[in-house]
Amino acid sequence: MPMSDHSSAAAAERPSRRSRLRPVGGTGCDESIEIIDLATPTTRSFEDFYAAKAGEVGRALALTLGDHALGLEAADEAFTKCFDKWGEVSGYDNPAGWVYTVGLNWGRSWLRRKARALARQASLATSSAVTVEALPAESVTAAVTDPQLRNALMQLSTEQRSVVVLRYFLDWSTEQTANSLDISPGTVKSRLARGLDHLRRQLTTADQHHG
Amino acid sequence: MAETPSFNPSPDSSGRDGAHHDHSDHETVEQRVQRHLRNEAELVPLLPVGTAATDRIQRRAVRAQRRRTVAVGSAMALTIAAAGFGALSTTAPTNDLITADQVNESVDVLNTPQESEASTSDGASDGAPNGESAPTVEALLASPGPTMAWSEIAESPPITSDVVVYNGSFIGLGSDNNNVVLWVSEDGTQWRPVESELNFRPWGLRAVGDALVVSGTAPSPDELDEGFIDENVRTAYSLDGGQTWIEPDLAPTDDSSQEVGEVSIAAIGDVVIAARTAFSPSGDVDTSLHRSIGGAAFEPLEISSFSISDFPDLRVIGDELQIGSYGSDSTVAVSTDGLTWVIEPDTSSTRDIVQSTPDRLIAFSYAEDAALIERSTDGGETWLAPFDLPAVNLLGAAVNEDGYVLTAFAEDWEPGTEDSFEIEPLTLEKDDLAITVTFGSDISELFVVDLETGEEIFRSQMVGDADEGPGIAYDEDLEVITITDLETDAVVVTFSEQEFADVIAASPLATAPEQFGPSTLIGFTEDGTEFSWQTTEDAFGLPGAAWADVTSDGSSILAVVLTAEGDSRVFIATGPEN
Repeated sequence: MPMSDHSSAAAAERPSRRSRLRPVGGTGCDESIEIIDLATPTTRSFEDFYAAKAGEVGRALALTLGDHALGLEAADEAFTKCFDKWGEVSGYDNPAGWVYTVGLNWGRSWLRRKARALARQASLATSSAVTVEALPAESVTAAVTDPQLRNALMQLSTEQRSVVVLRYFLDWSTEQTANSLDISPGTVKSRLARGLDHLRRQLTTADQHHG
Repeated sequence: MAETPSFNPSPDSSGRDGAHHDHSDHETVEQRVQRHLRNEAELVPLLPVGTAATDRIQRRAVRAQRRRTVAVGSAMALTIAAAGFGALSTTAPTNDLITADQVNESVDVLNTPQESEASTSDGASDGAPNGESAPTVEALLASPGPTMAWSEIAESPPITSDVVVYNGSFIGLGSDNNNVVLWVSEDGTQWRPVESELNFRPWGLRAVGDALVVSGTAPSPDELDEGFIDENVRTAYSLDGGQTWIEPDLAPTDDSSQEVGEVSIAAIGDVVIAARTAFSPSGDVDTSLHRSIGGAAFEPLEISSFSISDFPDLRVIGDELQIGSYGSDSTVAVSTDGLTWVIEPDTSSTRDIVQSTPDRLIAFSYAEDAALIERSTDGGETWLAPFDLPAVNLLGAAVNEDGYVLTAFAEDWEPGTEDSFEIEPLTLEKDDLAITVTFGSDISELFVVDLETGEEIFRSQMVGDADEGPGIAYDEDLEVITITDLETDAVVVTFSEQEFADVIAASPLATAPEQFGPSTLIGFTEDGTEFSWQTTEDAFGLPGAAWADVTSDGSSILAVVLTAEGDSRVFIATGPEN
């Protein structure tokens, strides 16, 4: 069985090492980047930044993680870390992207720990596996206007869903999304394409089922 | 928004009404996705903003900083946090003693030399190396209370007395200390919960020299922020194996406005030293040392020869107290009596063994400004020069059968925070495009080094947990990770998924907590001789059992096992006769 060779292709399209620090004026972002309209990064206050971005980042995390309460908790954790490192983060091109990524990692970590605990509990009790996908569905599902689409979105990987949310909810450009998630623009595009393809297939199947 | 997809991006602002359900046949998936996301977003409450909100964030950040440097909590409490989210059903413990008879009724593997450990699945022989006889196994305790998610050993010198096990479960988002129960035993046969003896809820326990130190919190309403709860860190210690607990009064007498923060405690004999951090309303931190004899009131120590670092962590190494300073004048001061302190330039202090292969060990040490990887190829008899790796947090390490070490690192290491770093096994995930190595937090770099020579043969940037990094490939069918030389395209080294899955967290003993299946327990006798004990999947004759914790006192191994029935049992594996 040949090894997967996607890594070499991926390596060819991006630098082998990327810096986590993206100072203002750095490379990697084009002119389409939406700079927060709050003076210059060096003078932005955390308070202003928080007031401007708390709502959308919290909601983006809630949509990505599929759990509203967890998303808000993740945003709260991320903004707390942002406050702690504001001197550094305020110099980034897109501090909101940093907060989103930190919150996403926190939320995913929480879900993994929860899944592991549930899996262990299940294995001790019934020897049945429990995965993240098996976590109890949120009651909010019943309230959304398009539950089929929500279910389909939740079937995407978190990586794919985060790209979908950043592109279609926050309207971030490919470059902004790539920088925020620390992946290449090509990866953003391919994740988005695969994610949308999956959604189309799921929705078509659902429509046929209901039609 | 120059690159917003080419459809009408404007959401319907009329709210969530039936019209949104009526997606037209002409609506693209992209449009439908955008409309759905914006509609669902309206269901998500907005985070509160304004001065009160940012003030609350500021206080959370300060508390987080304090928690990161809490000495007593350390990895143990964090392990609880990592262990047990979920809807675990626990009942309040009672103060009833659990006797050995009760243990015997439910444990049928007492004093059974474990013939089932005669070989591992790969044919390795059991018992200690060099033909020594296999350790015998004795079960001491079953189900010390309700079914718990986690059990850990906090103290075991010697193993048959002063054994303390705590069980903990962790429920709920944002909570730190639900339902942690500490159990104490003087002889391993009778156990009692100690929680009722404390005036706060414990969430961490460890032995520091001759003291057992328990840390916890006593929540109280935030006076400045209605609706929020302050977690007030509390600390108590015991000099008698947990029979009695003393919560020292270390409130500043010269400045009543100061708030006592973290307290680190250590003891040698009846000499107890406490390092106290106090905060002033302005945020200034004041750190001081205090000394007590045999549990009497603490007296402040005048320390002028060195500056104690903020949030210091007292340790006992051998027969010496150690306290560190990780600032610009990095030093470690040592003392045998708490009165006379000598500054030592060598601050290498913490060594965690992270690999389970008997003859191939990796140790992670923290020094004044570096985190070092050391390795041994002779089971810890000798330690070779550290790898030349950057000072970052170690996330995990694995050795494959060819002797290559794979290590992963996280964010920049902040000296002094090593004890607070959350330890979890690395996990491997794969989606359509990428192999992702995750640890619950960012992994910044992966290294592969030759265990024998220390030569670095591969390095890859792993930014976040969203990318696989160049040169790393994964074969899903063979379950093999391949590291490829980027220049020659030649395969450098492979790790099987199992080897990768076996990557374990730092542990005092080289075994893998939580791991099902074969494991190697390694103990060290008083003269430094290693003995190991290979187990089969039926650990201790208990199919489906999972390791919770193991430790050794130099002649025996004490293990806590979570059984398939959902209870926890304590076992002793007696080492070889010397």
